[in-house]
Amino acid sequence: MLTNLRLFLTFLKIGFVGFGGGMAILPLIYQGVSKFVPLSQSDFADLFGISQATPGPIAINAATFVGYKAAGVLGSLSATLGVVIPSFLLVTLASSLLKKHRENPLVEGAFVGIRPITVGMIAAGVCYIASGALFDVDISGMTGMAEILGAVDPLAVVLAILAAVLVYTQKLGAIQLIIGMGVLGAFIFS
Amino acid sequence: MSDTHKKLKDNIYIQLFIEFFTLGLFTFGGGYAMIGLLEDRMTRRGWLNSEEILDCIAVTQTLPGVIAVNMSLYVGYRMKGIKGALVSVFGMVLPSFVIIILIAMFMENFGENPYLRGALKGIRIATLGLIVSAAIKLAAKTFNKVKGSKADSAFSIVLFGASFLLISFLGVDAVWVILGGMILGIGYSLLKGRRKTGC
Repeated sequence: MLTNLRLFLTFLKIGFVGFGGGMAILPLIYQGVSKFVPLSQSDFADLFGISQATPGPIAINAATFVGYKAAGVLGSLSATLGVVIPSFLLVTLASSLLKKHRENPLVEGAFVGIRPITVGMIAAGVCYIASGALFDVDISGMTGMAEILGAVDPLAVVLAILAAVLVYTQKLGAIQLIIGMGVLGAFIFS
Repeated sequence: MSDTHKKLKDNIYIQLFIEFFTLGLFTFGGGYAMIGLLEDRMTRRGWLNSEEILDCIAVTQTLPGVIAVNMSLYVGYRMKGIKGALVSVFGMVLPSFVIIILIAMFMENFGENPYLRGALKGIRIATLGLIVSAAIKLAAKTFNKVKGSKADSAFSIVLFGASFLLISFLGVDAVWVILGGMILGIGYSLLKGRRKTGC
C-alpha cells in the first residue's frame, strides 16, 4: 500500500510540474521513481521503447508501465490517477476562466498573438515528426545539409506526401490512414 | 437500428468517450503526433473550428501535464463541462492502460518483431502526413482570417516565423514561446486600440 501511495504522490508531482509533454516527462519519471522502485537498466530501456511504440500518450504509457512493475495493476492505477489529477484541475480551471473572460479585449488580444505562434509550433512539430519518420538513422549529430538529405528514405517521403494529400483532400480519414499505413508498413518495411 | 441503440449513439457523453478512446488508440507518440488526428476528428465531428483547435493546442501545451490528456479534458469540458471532461479523459487513458498492462504481463522482447517495427514506421509516416495536412489547413485559416490591415497580417506572419525558428532551431520550450506570443498579442491589441481612439 505504501508503494501505491508513493507512486500516486510521485506522479501527482510530475503532473503539476511536467511541462512540454511526453518526451520531457519521461526523464522526470525516471528520476522520480528510481528512488523507490527497483527497476533494472533494461526495464528503463523497455520503458522508453514501449512508451513510444504503443498507442496513447507517452507519459500515460510510462506511468502505467512503471506502476505495474512496482505494484501490479493497482500500481498502474495509482500512477495514472496521480498524473491525470493535476491536469484535470488545471485544465478545467483554465477553461472555466477562459469561458468567463472570452469577451475581454485583453484575452482576445492574447489569442491574436497566440494563434500564429501556435501555427509556428505546429510547423516545428512537422519537423520533429519528420525527423523520426523520414530517416532510418539518427540525424541529431549531422550538421551538413547534404549529409542530412543523403540520409532521407525516399520511399518514406513519397508515402508521407501521399498521406498528406489523401487526408488534406478528405479522401481518407485519420484513422483509416493510420491503419492502412500500419498494414502497408508491416509488409514493405519489415 | 433499434431505439435504444440510436439513443446510445446520440448520447454526447458516449460520443466523447468513443472519440477520445479512438484518439488514444490510434495516436502513437503523444502530443505533437495527436495534433493531426485531433484536427481531422474534431473538424469531422463539427465540435471545434480551426480557431478553437488552435486555442485548444495552445492552452493544453502551456499547462503542465500530459498534453494529450489535457486536450481530451479541454474538449470534454468545452462540450459538456466537468462530466464531459471526465468521460473524455477516461476514454483517452483507457487504451494505454489496457495495452501497457497486457504487454507488461505477457510480452517479452517487445519491439524486436520486424513486422511490428515496419508497422510502426508506416504509422510514423501516416502521422507525418496528418500533421502536414493539419498545419496547412490551420495556417491557411489563420492567415486568411487576418483580413484587417497590412500591419495585422505582418504581425501574425512575423510571430509565426519567429515561433517556428525559436522552437525548431533554437530549441526554445514551446511554453515560453506561447507565453511570449500572449504578451505580444496583448501589447499589440492595446497599441491598436489606442491608435483607433486617437489618444
